[in-house]
Amino acid sequence: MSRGKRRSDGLAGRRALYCGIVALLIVAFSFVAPLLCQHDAELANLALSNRAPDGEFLMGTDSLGRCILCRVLTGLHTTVLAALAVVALSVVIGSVLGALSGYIGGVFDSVVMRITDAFMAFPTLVLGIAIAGLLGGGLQNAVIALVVPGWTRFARIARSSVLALKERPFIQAAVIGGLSRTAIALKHVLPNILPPLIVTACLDIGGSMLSLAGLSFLGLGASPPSPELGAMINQAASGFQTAPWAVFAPGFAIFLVVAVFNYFGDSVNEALGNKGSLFAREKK
Amino acid sequence: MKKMIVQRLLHLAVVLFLVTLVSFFLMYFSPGDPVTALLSRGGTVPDPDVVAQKRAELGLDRPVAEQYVAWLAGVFQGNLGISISSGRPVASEIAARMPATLFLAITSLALTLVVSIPLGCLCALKKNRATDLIIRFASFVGASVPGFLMALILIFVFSLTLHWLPSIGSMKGVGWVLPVLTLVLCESAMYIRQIRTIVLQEMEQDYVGAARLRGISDTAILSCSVLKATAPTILVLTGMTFAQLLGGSAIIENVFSWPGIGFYAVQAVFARDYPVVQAYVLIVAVLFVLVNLCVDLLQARIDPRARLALEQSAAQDRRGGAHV
Repeated sequence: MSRGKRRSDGLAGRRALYCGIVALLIVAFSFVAPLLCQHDAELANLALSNRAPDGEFLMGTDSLGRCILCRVLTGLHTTVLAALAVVALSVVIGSVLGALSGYIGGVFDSVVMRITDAFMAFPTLVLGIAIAGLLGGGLQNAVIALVVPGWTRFARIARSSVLALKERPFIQAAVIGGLSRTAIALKHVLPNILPPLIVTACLDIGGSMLSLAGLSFLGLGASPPSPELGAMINQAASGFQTAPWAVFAPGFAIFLVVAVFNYFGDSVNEALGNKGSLFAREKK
Repeated sequence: MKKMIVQRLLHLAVVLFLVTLVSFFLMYFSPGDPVTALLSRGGTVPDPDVVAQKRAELGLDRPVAEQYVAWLAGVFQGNLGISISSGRPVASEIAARMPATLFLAITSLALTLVVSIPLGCLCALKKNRATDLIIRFASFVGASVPGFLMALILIFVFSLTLHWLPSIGSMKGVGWVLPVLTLVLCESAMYIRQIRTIVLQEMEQDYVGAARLRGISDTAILSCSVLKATAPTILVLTGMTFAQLLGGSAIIENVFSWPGIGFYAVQAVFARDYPVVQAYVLIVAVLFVLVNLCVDLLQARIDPRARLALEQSAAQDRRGGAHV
């Protein structure tokens, strides 16, 4: 039985590794993708507007005559990196606050946790729309708007992990052994609180992309003319009937990238023993 | 139980207080002066005297703390301020749009449950067989499609190609079908997976094994015992989804021009009508918190384990945090 279990763990680990490689390849590809364009992604040419996909424009052109394939390739970069930035910032802010809160305890803990509760009372997108809107659009503001509600989950996870660790004999042994606080934090606490944080972060990437695309779709994300997948769909939606490809091409690109990252998150979760919460992911 | 409810309500009061703070101070995220922005629409540069007069009229020249207290006092009296762009009370504007959002949320949630619980159970029963794999694949695809894209695909198929349904949402006639269908597809995709996981976890319990040994079929075990045992978890999930739907359907409301609060709020965001944005954020958060409270209490009512956990956490809170 134990052998069978180990084998399946190994399988899950390998699957997570392969998915991770594919996800990394997508990130790497998003950097070189703009170089593959044979057209200018931002150059409008009304003579070419709304051309159906053909030999020259593989995905057709949009209402301003811009090559959609080039815009998708360029926009991929923005979407992927911005989503990774949202997750990275949320993880760092959330885990530092949560870990400190669990470590210091007392009044500090109560205050931080009440603040966390308050931010958790807002659905992600509601606060996201309000903040992105009031900050006035732009990709950077959209990232901020998603980090503000995004860090809370990581704070909770980090805090509860630290609290559970504090009671464990090996930490107490290290304290008695006279190890400095910093050494304990770095050597014993950090490696042990990382797995649940990593799993949740991986599960979060796909969702963050969907939220960002959603904000851009509303017109609260990247500002035109720089291409971003959600914003492209927003601009193409009004001419949906005449040029459906202008909606479907970026839409399919978002779907593919989100699917890869979602699959990656699931496989990491499985490989590390389902440490992610059942409710970790929410549809945006 | 009573003590626990009191504890829970006290905690709620603190959270709600912080929620009002966040909602109020949102407008300080706004760069520049909203009054100048309001008066300079159309490209004209407003007269400084007019700006000052308007600021005084809106009470924006007073100290921040005073503004907050005045705003909070208003909120308690059901006065959410005056919309800058329409000049009408925000409370009545939101009240007029609330039924549409509630209708959308409740209908979608009910249909999501009807679709997902049987499919999730079916997946669990046929674990790793063709049925399971097909449903899981479909729900994985659904969970990776952005909601607005799902909406546009449905519009493309049912409105633009087949001409069966209108692409503009309304509560009359068949206008509600596409928005509801979009939300049901998006939510079920998440739900089916979660219900499958919950049911499979429960199926690993010893009593299920014992029942199997006695020759009871999996279907019978599932419908008689497992569903009952997993009901509290599914309830929590339902509460969370409902709360999400109340606010999170803003994007779908926009695609279909649905006359709800989400559509209204996004228009207000673009008009920099911050009293409306504040009110929207506050109302959704309060609803969110209240729905979660109801779910917790209901769960404590039907599940003794949850009651115990809640009482323990209340006791910990009373001791001022057990982990100090």
